[in-house]
Amino acid sequence: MNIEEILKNVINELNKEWDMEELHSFENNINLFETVDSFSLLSIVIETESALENETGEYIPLADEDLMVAGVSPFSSFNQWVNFVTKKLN
Amino acid sequence: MGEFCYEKIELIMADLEFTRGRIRGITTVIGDMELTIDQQKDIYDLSDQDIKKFKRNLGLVSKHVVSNDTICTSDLCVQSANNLLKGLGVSADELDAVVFVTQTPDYRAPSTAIHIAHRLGCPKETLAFDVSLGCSGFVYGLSIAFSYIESGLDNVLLLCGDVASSFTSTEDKSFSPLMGDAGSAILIDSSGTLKTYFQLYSDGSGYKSLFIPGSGIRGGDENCGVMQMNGAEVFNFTIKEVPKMFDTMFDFAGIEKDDIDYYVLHQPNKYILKNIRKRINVELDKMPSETQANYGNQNSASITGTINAYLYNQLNGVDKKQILFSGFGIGLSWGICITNLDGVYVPKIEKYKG
Repeated sequence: MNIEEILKNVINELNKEWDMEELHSFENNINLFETVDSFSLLSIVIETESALENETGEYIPLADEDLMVAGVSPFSSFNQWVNFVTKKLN
Repeated sequence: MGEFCYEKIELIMADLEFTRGRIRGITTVIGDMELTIDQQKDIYDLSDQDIKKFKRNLGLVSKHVVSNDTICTSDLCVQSANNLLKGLGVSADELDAVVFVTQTPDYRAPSTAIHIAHRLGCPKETLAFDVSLGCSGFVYGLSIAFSYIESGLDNVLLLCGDVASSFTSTEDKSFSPLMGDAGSAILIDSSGTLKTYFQLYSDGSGYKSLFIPGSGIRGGDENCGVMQMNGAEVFNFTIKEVPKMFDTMFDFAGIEKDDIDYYVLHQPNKYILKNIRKRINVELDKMPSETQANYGNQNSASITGTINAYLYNQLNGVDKKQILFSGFGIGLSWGICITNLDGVYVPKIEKYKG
């Protein structure tokens, strides 16, 4: 299972709806926390949970108390988001 | 130099334990107008993308609100109370106390509960007052009712709810579509024999996470009368504080998680409830979570609204069931309660009839 690919697919699929230029082609250091609003971050979380459930057959809640906190949020960069989800799966 | 010894400090908790109180009945009345999320598109100027987000993230279907601004929370609660007293065969003469938990009183002064007691036909000997709380309000209000019963009163009528339409704005796209209108009535009497437990919390550092600027004496704020929500802060608070409450309560009450028949939580949205349910590892059928999606966020009436909408078949007249209630939100304020429902009157949720 390639987590980075799954997470990129989730954002790409959501961005078909959002049509945000910053997300059309993004680098791994993009600050998602500053790029999209909190409700859209929640969309990313929910769709990621759903994609992971399809892969693993298990629901893994990703939201934790740091998720929406500026400075420590795993959305501070796409790389951090990948690391955060990887830890949750392990 | 003297050093403060933190190890010796024992955390003081708002732990409450009662034996004499028992919930006799629960009724809820909702706003008389149903609005589907699609019907809200023009009201809040929502884009197709907004509608999709609400449906996908929160599973929003509809909400129930009052059809005009002359209908107050007290009107919903009076209908609930009349249904409750009639269903239980209890007269207003027998009520020792009326406690009204709301953020939307008829007037800033006097306490609306006093006029409600009059409308119900209570005698002058009935004490009555308002409590200003939102989503934690049912649990807090219930603790007040149980305290009065433990102190010697025999019948306490607790009323909870809000007409949230009165503090939402059509210009707000993120908060207003989530909110519904409801008012509940709960009768607590002195026939209890089993223990009821409460743990209550508050944190005023988050008072601006959810608040209504310009709604009181302190001025200097714009958007008077309209609720403002910092969604990220409220989300963080909920994810951080709510799951922690459960183990602390189980330790206090000496009760195992599996001993609870139903977990009835405040209903902010389906996603939050799913996250909490998974983190505390509770089965889906023990924790209803559809209320907000179908009725809107009912504030302090959301726990009772959930019971009257989704658990009336399972709980009406049932023999002893152990129930956990948890409310959390504006303040910030949160609380948890474990009690027993035994022979309780729980009819189906009803629309306001005017």
